Amino acid sequence: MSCNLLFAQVTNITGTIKDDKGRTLPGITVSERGTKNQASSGGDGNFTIKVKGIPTALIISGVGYKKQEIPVNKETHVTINLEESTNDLSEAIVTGYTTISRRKTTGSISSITSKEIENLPAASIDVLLQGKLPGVNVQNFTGQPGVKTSLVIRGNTNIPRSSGDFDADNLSSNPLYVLDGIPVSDDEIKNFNVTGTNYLASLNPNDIESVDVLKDASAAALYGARANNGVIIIKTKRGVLGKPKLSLNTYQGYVTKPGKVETLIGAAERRKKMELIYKYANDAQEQNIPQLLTDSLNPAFNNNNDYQDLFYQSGYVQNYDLAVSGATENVNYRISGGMYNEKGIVKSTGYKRYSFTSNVNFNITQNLEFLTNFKASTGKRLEGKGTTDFLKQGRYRSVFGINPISMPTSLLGMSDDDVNSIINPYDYQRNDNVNVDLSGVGELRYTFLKDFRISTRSIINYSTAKNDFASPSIINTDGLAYAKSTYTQYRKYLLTNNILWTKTLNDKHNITATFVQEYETRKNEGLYLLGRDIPNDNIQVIKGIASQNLSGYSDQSTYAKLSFLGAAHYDYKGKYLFDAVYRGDASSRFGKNNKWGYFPSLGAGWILTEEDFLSQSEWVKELKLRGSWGRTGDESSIGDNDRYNAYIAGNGNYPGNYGSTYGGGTAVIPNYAGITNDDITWQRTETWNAGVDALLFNGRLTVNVDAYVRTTTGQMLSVWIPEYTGYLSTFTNAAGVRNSGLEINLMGKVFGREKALQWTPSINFSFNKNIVTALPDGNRDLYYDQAVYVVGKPLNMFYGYLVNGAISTSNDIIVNPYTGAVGASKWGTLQPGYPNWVDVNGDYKISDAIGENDMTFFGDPNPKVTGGFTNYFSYKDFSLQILTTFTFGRDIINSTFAQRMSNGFFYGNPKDLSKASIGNLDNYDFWQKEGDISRYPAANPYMGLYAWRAGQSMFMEPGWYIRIKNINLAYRFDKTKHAWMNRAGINSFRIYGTMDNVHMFQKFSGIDAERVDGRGFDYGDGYPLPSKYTLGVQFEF
Amino acid sequence: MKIQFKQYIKIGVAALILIGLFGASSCNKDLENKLINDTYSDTYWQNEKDINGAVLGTYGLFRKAMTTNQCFFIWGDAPIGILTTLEGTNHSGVYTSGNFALPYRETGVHNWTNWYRVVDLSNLIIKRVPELDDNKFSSGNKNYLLGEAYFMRALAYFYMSRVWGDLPMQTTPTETANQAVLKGRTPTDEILKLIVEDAQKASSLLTWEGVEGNGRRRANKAAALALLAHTTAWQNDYAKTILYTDSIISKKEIFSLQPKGSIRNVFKDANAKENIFVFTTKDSENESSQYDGNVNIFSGAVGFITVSNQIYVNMPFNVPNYFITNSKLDEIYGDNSVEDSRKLEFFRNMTNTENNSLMKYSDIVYKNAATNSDPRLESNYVIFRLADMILLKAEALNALNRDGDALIAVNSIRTRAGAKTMFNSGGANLKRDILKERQRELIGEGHAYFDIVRNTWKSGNNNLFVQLTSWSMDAGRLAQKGYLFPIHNSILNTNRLISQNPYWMGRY
Repeated sequence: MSCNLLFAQVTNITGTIKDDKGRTLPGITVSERGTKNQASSGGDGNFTIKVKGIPTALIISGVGYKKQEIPVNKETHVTINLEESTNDLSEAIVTGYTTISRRKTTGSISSITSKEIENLPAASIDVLLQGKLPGVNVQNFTGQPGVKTSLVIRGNTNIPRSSGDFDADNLSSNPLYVLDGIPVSDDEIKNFNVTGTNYLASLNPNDIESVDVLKDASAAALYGARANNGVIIIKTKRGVLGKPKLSLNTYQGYVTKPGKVETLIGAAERRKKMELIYKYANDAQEQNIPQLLTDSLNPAFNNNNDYQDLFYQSGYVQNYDLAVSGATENVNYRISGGMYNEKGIVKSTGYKRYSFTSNVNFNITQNLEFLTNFKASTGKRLEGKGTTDFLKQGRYRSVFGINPISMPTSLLGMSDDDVNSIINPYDYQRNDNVNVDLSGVGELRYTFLKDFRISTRSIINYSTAKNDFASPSIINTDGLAYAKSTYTQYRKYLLTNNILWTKTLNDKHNITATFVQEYETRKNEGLYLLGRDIPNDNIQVIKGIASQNLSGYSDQSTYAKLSFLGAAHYDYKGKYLFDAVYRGDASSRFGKNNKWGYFPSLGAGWILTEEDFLSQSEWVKELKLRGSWGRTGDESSIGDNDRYNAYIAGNGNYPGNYGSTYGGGTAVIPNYAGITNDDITWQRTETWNAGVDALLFNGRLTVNVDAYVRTTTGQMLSVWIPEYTGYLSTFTNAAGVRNSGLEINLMGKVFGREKALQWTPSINFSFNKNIVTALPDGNRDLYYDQAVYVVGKPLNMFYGYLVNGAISTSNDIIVNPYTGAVGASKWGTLQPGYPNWVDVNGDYKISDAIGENDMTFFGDPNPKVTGGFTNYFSYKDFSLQILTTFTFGRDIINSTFAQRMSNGFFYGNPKDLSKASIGNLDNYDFWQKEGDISRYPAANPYMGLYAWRAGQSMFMEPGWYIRIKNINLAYRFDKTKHAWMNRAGINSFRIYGTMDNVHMFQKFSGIDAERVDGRGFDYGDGYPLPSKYTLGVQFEF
Repeated sequence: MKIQFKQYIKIGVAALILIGLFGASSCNKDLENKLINDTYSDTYWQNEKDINGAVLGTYGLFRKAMTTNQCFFIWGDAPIGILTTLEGTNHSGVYTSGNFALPYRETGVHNWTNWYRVVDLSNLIIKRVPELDDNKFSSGNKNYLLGEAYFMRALAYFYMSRVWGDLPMQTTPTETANQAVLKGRTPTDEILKLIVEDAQKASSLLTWEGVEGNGRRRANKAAALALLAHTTAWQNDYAKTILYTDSIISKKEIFSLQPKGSIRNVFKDANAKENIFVFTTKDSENESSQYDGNVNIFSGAVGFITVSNQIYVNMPFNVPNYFITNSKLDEIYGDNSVEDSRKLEFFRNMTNTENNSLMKYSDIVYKNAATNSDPRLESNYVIFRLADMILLKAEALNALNRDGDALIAVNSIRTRAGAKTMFNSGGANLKRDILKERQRELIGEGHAYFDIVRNTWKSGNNNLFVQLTSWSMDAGRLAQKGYLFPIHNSILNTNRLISQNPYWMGRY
């Protein structure tokens, strides 16, 4: 059959391609239907394609434009007007195993293209997905460049395994990312990434062509064992047919100094503190005012240090991309290099990345293709001062030389050395975090017997992370120099064999079936070394030290997974759609009995607009109903080695000694911290999903609605076992979480296609409700830190005392009617002005003792509604995009305020107040005098009972916000109007400007309601989310 | 062209098949991956070295159990009130009012988990040793190592039983969570029977040669016999106590009392002839103990809380947390007319104060020799020594109405110390005097309180408490098993089958 081509009659068809405003479009692919015959439009929009015979049909497609199919009967010149698409993507979604036709899918899939994320000043793609996709909730809890943020699809399912595993910076469930076919989950890199740099930051966002999010089980079941929390498929750009193109793109920007934690400085601070002391002190106390406040003539106590000024600065961001792309009939290629550099707004922080991406595909014969993808990148992250800890903890907060919520008083004198050691440890310290990521994908595809395609794909993924730290003797209190070198390496190999069968019977029955076998192995390794007492401060490596000052170890773990996947699609005349997926995974993480997990899914859809009664409708252009059920899995809550009962080789320690021997001989003991459980198995999620997709009013309004219920069971949790076994805990598949919700996506075209001014607003809302359905030990409540898990309640509720304002008058104090005791509390007697603690257990006494505990759970840090509102305007050659994101219906804790009040007032000792920094207390509604109805108790430096402790409901505030996330204005030079472009050989030229983090609307009294950790605690000592202003140019030659 | 094309097919298909086969065959092995960064239960138990490592593990765990929150001292010595403190209720309630609930010392004093780890690891060894071929061991070592495991299990149960009474009996190892079942407490008498059985097995498997061969810091035949002597005494089966103590005392070529003036040597030198079984914390073996913020006053080695920094610079306290007053010292050792050398060997006065430091745990190495800073303690903790056996024998003889022989035994200890001999004591008075002699000799070694309970818990007569403690336990409390320590709440919370010791219900 292939040989027939050689002898067929050849006809040339020529044509011109223009956009809907009549401008010629270069680089658009023209292909003949049913063949591999392709051509592309040149710089003038013209194309020529050789076809073997007429009549035939041409398919016209290009990124950012709606695909068109036009019949060719006899004309040899055609003019085609392509319609620009703002949301509709190219028809196909390449999942890594199968290619899904968007029109025919029964799953819930949200997507964005490069156009929406290009040239925004961020280091990684996850940050850029905020507000863009229904069901995808991105909360940036840190502005630190190159650090992971929280991205949750359809609600959080994560309950930490034990209180020891509770990490407020990492509390949300993570999706599976698939980067050009390489699946990467957070849990496999987390423990073997000593730099703490976001893995996704290795990928240049400007190299990304599309991001597809598989949300329901019908779509995600393809990734079975790791798809519990959704799958994000990221595809990099590929070449388009035509002459080689060189594109050059750069933007440069300014990052503004962030808002400071509000602080009284110098005289204002002294005045306020003295005012409070004189207001509340009795005579005896007035004789004993801290010297720090009274001795204003003492040069050591009469300063006005604004510590935050010492470490905040303005930063900059710059980005360069260079790409060459093109394609012929035999080769399709795109090769790009990039550099991103961000100088942080906290001194000695920032991120710099060099990246290289190559996509080259060969059509060796008509039936044999070879596809390659290669990525290399290296990133260096500066994170301020470092530590000697081997494994990083609290890494998002520890950037400051002085913690902004626990600053000392501004009155203290500071020597130059003091200032130096606070502001710039990096001047003295070496703290390099370098990641190198390499990945290669090769896939051989062979088509045979017309309907079958067999392919084999091999993937290598190799990442290293290295943290080198050196701290000279001059800045360490023990006068010793330290150096640390830690290195981790991650190596993954993946082999996928795939056979695909596509068949259409009688022009009615369309069948696609795929069978996949996949095998994955991974090895993580680590090397940790610490040297103490380095002989000279010039030496910033571990060298020249006595052997007993050297400590370190190396570590490794392995992982393997074997999977089989069968997926089938059937549709009748493109009207009735059916999908079925069945996947089996065997993982090395589980014991012999439970190695295999099976993940089925079913989906059905009905395209009503294919039916006679709707096919002619003008206002309903497309209408699809779909529904699906499926099961997916998760293994992130169990580690690579948890199934072994590992012993501790060398443990002879006792209080005061950390040794490994007894009597000089190595003592081996089981690891009594926990024992393994042979019955552990996969965590499972069952998802029901129903959806509607519609294109209404002559294509002017797109509506997507999805409703879902996701029930996750078998989350691994630590449970007690009797201590006479020697062990304290084991883990078991015990917890359950249910998320249910509704997602609405609306996109409209306000003006007709012919108008010069175009306005395309699109808005998406996601409503999600999340509750705990099961907990171990008979659903006993779990308390981790200050987060609580209670069956029937949402995840991560707050735990503490309920406070009903301040006690207004002495009549409002609790009285025990039986004993007559007034104002009983564990810590003393309540008085007006004290917190009006709620006596939750009704024993007329405020206490946290066993049996009289009044602490309880309250609030809900999980947002009820999240989403985004994008407005895209275009007028002639101008375009403007405004993105607004929002989060509603959650509570957050103002822990900045709580911590600062606690620093100064907790013990009721004015000395503490004199030493601590204070905010502008006039902004808060404190109790002042008998009879006041106020939100907060008195700011009384002498008040006892630990009234200003953390963990009280009075610190809870509304956590909603609306943020104008970014505004992007661009101007495109039209080649037809600017003749110089032709002379310079420039195909296209664009200039643009972006404002990022433009404005925040919130009721929260702190700095930023978005910057809260996973349990909803505000992050006053975290890295601010700064505003960025950039200008850029983009050329294509 | 056509031929080339077909070749492509063949190459392609062959490659696919090859890759597919390779993938399928290697993956089963990888799915059953082996840990190589840790040893674990399936792979560990291979040879004598592995067993020996685990046996050393039991000693390490035992050392940790004994020293966590200074529990052996808090149980055995603090309730008597000879050593006192200025540190307030967190340290003093135990001897001023018999309040055995000790805040900040829960892990060591109230929670038995550390001790059950000794039991579990011993259980593992007892299970695994017989599974190994004899030829994996050098001659005699298989029996010896097994004997050590039986000894350590018995020793752990003996400590626990004296402190908490009835105990969950766990005689099999736990290797997966599925083997953990809820169980209640087994009566003390049953536990004591198990201890006797284990110790008897240990004494037959262990050897006399092991005493010096193992430097008196691992189990040996004498240690097993000493444990049997103590256990039978605890059962008030004194006839057996005499047999067991005699079998040790008669081994004069191995055991002899230290001469006067170097009695304290038992804490410095594990090989001292008087020692039967000690555990060591030698600095030369990197096992000495440091005092820092993590091991605070509640968990520092006993030496840190009993030795003043006026005696050894850079110790943490000027006035030790626990000290003994001049008057108490005189009361115990008598006036100065006849020197009891133990008063000088075991105690030292600080300049011009009422406070004396207990010097038993005062072997110090300064890590920073230039500045005499960073002191580390490396004293032995003596579990059994000959003087203890001789006095225990005296107690047994007195209980069997052989007061004359008992006096000879007691006086051998007094003579060694240079103290006046005892003549005209007998009956209950002699019992009291023997226990007082044990206080003089063994103070600070974790015996004194148990000496009283041993002679009281079965009879219910509280006289000895009145005579020998600073607060005295009434008969009602004794009847409610108030001589036991309270069990930590976390243990009760996780196991409904275990209830608090009766006296402590509502009090702890």
